[in-house]
Amino acid sequence: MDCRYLEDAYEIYLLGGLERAQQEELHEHVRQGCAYCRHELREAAENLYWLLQNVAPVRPSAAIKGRILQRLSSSTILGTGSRKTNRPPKKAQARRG
Amino acid sequence: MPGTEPETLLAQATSGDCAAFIQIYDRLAPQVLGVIQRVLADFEASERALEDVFVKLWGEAPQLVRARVSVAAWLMLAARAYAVERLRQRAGGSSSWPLHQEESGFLDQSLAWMPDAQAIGLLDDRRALLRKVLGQLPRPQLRSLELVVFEGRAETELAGDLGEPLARVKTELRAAARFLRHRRRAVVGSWTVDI
Repeated sequence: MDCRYLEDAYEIYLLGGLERAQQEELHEHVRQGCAYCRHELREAAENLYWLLQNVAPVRPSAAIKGRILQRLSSSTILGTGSRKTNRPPKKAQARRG
Repeated sequence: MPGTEPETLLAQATSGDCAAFIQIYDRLAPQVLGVIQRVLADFEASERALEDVFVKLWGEAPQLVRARVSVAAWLMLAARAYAVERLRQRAGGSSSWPLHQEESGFLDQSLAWMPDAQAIGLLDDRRALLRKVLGQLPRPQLRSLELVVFEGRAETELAGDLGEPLARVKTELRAAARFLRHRRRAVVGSWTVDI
């Protein structure tokens, strides 16, 4: 893969917006450890952060924080984190008594 | 500990400090919810997604700390990816979009290229200038970019949406990305750049 060809495509790749074949090709290429592409992707990620940072903030309901804490303390955590068990933090356990 | 960096707080959270984790939430949740709400345009669904993203942050915390990535950057990009995935599921599409995001370990791979706190700090410091730059992006390019960012449209879908040739859509999107990249480099490189 000629990385120079991808110069302006990194942002679109991170957004999942490339044509499928190109998306898959770049995905595999990066997975194999291309240092140049990783550097370019880091810059692209900064660009995307910049775009997202410009969105107006929205205040969540007060209840959301409690719901998150409850989920952290349960065994039904979603996500793909490597922690096999998601035991609640000690302080959260202590607060719930 | 007001003012403690999110990366420090996340490191504390990995050793069980829930209060540190909640500080991250208090500081960053409104911005993260803003992104999700912009994508989903449904407050209840957006709050559920916000929960999922923060629970995922908890699960991913050890890896993120080890990789020394910016917590804010990870949250924003993960939130956008997650919200777009939900949007596509809601639309009932069989899009390939999630392929490189959740299913193929987008977030795992992202540790290799996720910006660090220093890079994100520079962007945060220059937020006003950067906002001004966005206003300089030609309207059609900005619109195309927004459709990809906030509605999860792929290039081929965008061409259909806009009724334009795929080649033109690709050119416009890449021009927008190039413009933003060059301007961002200028802004973070100098306080006195004439924007």
